[in-house]
Amino acid sequence: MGRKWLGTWSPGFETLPGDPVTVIEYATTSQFRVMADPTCSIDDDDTRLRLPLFKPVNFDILPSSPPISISTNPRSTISCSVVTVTPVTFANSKLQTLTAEFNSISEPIDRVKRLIQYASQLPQLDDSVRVPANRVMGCMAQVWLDVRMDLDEMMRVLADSDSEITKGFCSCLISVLDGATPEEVLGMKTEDLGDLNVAGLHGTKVDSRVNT
Amino acid sequence: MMMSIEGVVLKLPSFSQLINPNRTPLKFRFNFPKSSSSSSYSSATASLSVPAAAPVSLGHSTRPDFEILHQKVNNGSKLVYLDNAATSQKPSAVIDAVNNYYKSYNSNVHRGIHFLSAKATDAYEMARRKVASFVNAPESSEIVFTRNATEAINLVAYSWGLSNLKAGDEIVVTIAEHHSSIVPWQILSEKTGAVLKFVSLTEDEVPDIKMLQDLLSKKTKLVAVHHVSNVLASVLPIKDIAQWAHDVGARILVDACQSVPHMVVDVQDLGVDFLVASSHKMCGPTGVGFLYGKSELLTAMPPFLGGGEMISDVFLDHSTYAEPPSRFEAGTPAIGEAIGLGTAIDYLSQIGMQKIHDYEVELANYLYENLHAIPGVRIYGPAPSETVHRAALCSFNVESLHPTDIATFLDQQHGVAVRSGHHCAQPLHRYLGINASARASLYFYNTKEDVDDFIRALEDTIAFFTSFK
Repeated sequence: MGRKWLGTWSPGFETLPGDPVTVIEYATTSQFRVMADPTCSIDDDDTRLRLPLFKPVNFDILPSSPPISISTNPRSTISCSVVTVTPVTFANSKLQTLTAEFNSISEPIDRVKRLIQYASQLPQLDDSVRVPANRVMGCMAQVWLDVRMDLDEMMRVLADSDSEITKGFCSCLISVLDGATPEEVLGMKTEDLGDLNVAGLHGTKVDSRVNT
Repeated sequence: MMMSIEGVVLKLPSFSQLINPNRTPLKFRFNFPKSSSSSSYSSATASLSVPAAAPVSLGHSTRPDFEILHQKVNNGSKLVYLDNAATSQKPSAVIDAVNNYYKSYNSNVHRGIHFLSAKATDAYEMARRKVASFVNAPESSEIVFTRNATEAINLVAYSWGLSNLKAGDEIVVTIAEHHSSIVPWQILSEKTGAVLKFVSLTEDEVPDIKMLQDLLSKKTKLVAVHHVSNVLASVLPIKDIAQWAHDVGARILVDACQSVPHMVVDVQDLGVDFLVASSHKMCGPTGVGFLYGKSELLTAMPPFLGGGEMISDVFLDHSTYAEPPSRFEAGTPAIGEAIGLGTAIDYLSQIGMQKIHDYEVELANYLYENLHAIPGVRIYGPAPSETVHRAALCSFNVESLHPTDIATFLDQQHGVAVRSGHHCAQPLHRYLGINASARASLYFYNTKEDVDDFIRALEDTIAFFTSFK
């Protein structure tokens, strides 16, 4: 099932049966994740849960919350029970938003255009930052990365590349990481960022090594 | 399987007879209506009854043999494969030969006397003879099968190099060498104290032959050069360089990876001491390559890898070694793959290396002219002329575009496969002042239409990226 992280969920919002939402994993602890799956919809007789398409708010769940049954469209019924969930972070949610955005673009050429638009949003990097010390080695394109912590102890990321496509990826990375806490950045793994690559071009991971 | 032959399509006996009508008389069979006296038309030579067919290019006539070329990629574009300098495609004959080996007579070589083993050994040794004959080596024992050209160069570095070089000796290479002919010599230099000397380029972006001559001295023990450059597309005068090397008492090793697949290479005529090539660049399978080495050199060289096959007698405290080439072929070789290489050589020989070369010169010029005509394109290496023949490849950059962006878009939107990067030639790229380049490289099964597709696709790519600026 294609699950995409969209944000956290708050009760009290309604949606109609047939709306494309609804697979839920939730935990006994405070937060849970709402996934959007366009192939899912809510049954007519499922009155216990009505979900929005996308509402980024926090939600507290009670230990007594019952399992929710949702029917997928049209094949099987999914019964979500209590499962553990990774901590929801601001950076994570931004990453999921980004991945969802790219996955929603069906034409590969439009994904490239979107990536280049992201690239154009990057500020022009000062020559003092484009130095060998800031080079990310191992990549075919030249990538410069400058990472600092600001006065509020948030990570500030600057990046640039001589390749437009790579610059686009840098821009995406910055949109996720810039302003994140150090813990959030440390909490992200390369695999999480791999979704960006998948979402980027033609659905397969593209490796252009420099060690040939 | 798609047939893309131009001109009149008749029931043809074989493609090679079509492209070489002078070699054997063409025989055609026609079905005529009963009213004709069909018996007199049951076979005819081309000059009598065949309507004048449009000349079929080598690319068109050989394409049907390469099933892999007839596919669609990515967004439904047909594949235009222009990365032949990285690896070549294999004709059905080669694939069938490898399959047939595994299906019918797979068995370890030189080790058994049973039926399968004898057959496998014969086929493997026959492949060795084919390689020897292909490069005109006087003896098949002068052909050592390796994993690829890189391993062959390492073999020479470790075996010949370690026992022949000492501190202060010099190795002359060009800055345009492939990493496989730089790194092993660096390792050798570290181990022996020998010194590596580099020949740089002229203004025409070819290795400076004058500088090479000047670098040669009594201290030079080895000259290691490419025959054809995989980036610059230039060709070195190997015969002359070999002579100059021998004049100072040095040996010469030639990296023929980009020449053996594309033209006649005659080791005796060139006068080289060592020559290396890879099967996978010449329509053969991956996993096998070869080293040609003069008999007297190989005989004096100590082993490279130790193990079975390369020994004569094994005792607890020492072993004695086999004669070359076995001495340098430790362990079970890539038997099926070597046999596949033999079949690739048969295939190429049937077309004729001179014919392949002539066709590729035509393609090379066509590619260069059309690519050069695009504004903002910078091609590396010499410009083609009466005296300067380029190989059928172009490494290039487009102003203010990254080659990786170009290659990505070409592939994704147009199905055109080119390479982007430094093509295993970082020192060369550094010398040229660039980080990377894109490269389109052709082989005899490419056509002018492939070049047209590439040029159109590149123009579209440039327009796309330029629209954002």
